[in-house]
Amino acid sequence: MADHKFEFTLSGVNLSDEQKNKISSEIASVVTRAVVGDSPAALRTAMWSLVNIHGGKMVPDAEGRPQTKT
Amino acid sequence: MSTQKTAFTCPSAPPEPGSVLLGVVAAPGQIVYITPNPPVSSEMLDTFQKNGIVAENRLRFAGPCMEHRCMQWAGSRCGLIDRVVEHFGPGGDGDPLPKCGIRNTCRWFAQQGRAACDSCPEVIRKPAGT
Repeated sequence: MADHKFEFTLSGVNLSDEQKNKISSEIASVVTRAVVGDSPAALRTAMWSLVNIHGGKMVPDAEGRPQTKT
Repeated sequence: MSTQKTAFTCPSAPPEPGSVLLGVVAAPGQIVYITPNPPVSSEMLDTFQKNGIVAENRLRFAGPCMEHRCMQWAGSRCGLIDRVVEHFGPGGDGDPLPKCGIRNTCRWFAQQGRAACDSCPEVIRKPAGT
């Protein structure tokens, strides 16, 4: 999926999956707070009313339609 | 001989374990892309929540394209990026593309090329007030 796998190493210790998850979540949190600040306000885009941009909404299995060729 | 179907990546996936963090919405129309993309875990989502960060508003996630199981799927392609590019136009030719971690498999880039990259920052999964 992603072009590069997110990996990190700590010399001399074998990290558990739980520890890896904690580290990656802290990194992501720090990066996000550095960008958006400590009290990020929710954003709105002007084009919302023009285009439904709520991406990646899953539909129930029963409603899913396989791709059909025309 | 085997024919391997390309597994495309959705750049507007739900924030859930199994996805990766694509970037941070710094301002309307501006994404700070993170490369490589940190994998999403429930701990990560909990951390964002504790810090008052609304994941679907201030962050963008990428995950496997679900094709016909997605509400945005339109026949044989993603209808979302088609509508977004239709609204914003083809974009500029000379500007360098942002350093994005999923372009090789991005569904939107596969469909619309650099026009998708130009419009991608405009997408917020859950704008304020919705």
